[in-house]
Amino acid sequence: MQNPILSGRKRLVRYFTIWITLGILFFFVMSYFVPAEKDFLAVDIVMQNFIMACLMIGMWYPINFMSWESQKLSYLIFNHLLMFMLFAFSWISLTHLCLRLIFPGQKINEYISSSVAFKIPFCFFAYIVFVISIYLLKYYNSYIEKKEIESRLSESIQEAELTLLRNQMNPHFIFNSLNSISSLTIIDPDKAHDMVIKLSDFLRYTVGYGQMQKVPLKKELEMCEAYLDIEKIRFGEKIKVEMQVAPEALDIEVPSMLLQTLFENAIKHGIYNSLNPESILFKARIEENRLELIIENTFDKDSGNKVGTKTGLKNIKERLRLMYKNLAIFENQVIDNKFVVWINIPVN
Amino acid sequence: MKIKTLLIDDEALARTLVQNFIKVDPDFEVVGEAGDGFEAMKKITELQPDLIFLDIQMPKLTGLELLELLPNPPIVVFSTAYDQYAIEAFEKNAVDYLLKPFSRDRFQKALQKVKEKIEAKVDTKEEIKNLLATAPNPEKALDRIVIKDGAKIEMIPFQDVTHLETYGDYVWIYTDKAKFLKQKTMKEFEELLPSSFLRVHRSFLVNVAFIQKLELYEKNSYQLLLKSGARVSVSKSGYKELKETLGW
Repeated sequence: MQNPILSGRKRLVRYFTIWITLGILFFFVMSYFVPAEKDFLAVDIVMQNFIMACLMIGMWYPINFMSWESQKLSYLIFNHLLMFMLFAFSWISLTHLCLRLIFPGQKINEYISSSVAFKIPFCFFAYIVFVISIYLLKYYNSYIEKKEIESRLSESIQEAELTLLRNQMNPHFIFNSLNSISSLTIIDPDKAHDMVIKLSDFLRYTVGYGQMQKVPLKKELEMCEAYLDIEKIRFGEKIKVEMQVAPEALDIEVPSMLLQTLFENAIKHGIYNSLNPESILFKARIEENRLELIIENTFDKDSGNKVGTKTGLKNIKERLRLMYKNLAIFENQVIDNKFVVWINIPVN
Repeated sequence: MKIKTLLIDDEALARTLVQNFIKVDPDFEVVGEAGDGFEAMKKITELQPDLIFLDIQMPKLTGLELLELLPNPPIVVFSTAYDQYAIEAFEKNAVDYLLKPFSRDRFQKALQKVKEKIEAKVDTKEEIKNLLATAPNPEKALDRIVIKDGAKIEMIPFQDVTHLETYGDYVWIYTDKAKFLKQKTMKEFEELLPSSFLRVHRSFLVNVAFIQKLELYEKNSYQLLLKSGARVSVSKSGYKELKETLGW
């Protein structure tokens, strides 16, 4: 952290302008109340204000670290008392030393002993004002920072929601499916009928449950099965799917559209880019009160493709983080010709 | 003479539909089908069709990548489910396309247009060239360069390319192990490749990831030694750019 007074030439000028103004004010007030020689008074005020201004710049560093958040109240008060005494002592003695050097002689001692009565309350007051302004500034800065973080967070949530919406309405998938249906109406009307129902189920889920944050695994899997069935009609023997789901996992809630996105990824990178049949394996089970989900898909290593841009996976990671804080685990890796995604989330 | 037609789509049902729609028009004859870019390449060379129905998204090679590799492309009717950018390019170049799912009427119109094109002897080579110039570069999206090497098709991921060198109207593409020739200008490659490729010389584009060291070659002239062992000349402006980008 940088000293706010020293963080710009403009600020420094402003800071000293305040001290000069205060000095002029003091001079008039003091000359009214204190029966002292005017030149003593003038030099005293110039010296004391200048020295205090410099001392305060230095004091910012320790005071900035003395905060009520990191210290016990008793320590804090003790620290401030110590700090104040150090400040008062150095300020008064430095000012007096300067006065003695400038006006050698007896008279100055009389002036000094009469002015100490004013100086101690003045420096106490100045110390308090200074500390309060530092704390206010600190509070204000952290407030601004917090607001910024909040707005960034809400932005990223919005973005995640938007991508989710776009994923739900994958136009490529929908129009290609409709094209398959249009073909089936001519060659196999029964199958066309089947596919219309499946597509409807899938769409109904995405506009219904898809809008919810969490759904039971059972519901999510029903929709994924409708989705996979449609892809099976489109790509026939090329897709092999195996599901291993522990019955007790079926009622556990999972983020909606999570598995759909992962199956879609598996199909996109596994099936779409391959000439040979590829398989998808899904496993769900409960262990130590946590739900473990694994999706594996084989892919063609020679397809010359990278494994996607991974934005889909990044979005899932972000969504899990927003929903479960740091309690969700999300890993993905390539093992030989397999892409494995591993998710572990708390039950409820 | 019948119009020899090849159907290229990775979905069997989509091909069946076109088969079904096209058989009512006796002027057309389906000579084959292909389910991916490689197969399509093979069948086009083998069967020399006059017309192809071409899906854009396919395994191995996308429809646009396939066209780039054809020296004498046939007439093309694209079919796609959803591909906003490609469609803009089709519109601009008056290339016909079918949006899936399409009606019988719309399909008939496409066939009609094909006949008109054949009658008017439209230069498809020119047409496709213009299309590929305006279409979103398929290689950029997939980060790979596709090259036809005799009967073989090579795919080179961008990160495997060490450097490129101009060679007349062609460009040599070097990897650690081999080099390939492709008909494309250096300027096109400069636009295609990511910023990790630097134009260090009029004739050279270098992947910074493969730079081993910079050597003084002669007085005031430099050479780059690449990790593959190759040496590449550096021009004055290239030297400046190297220094700026790599902070030497």
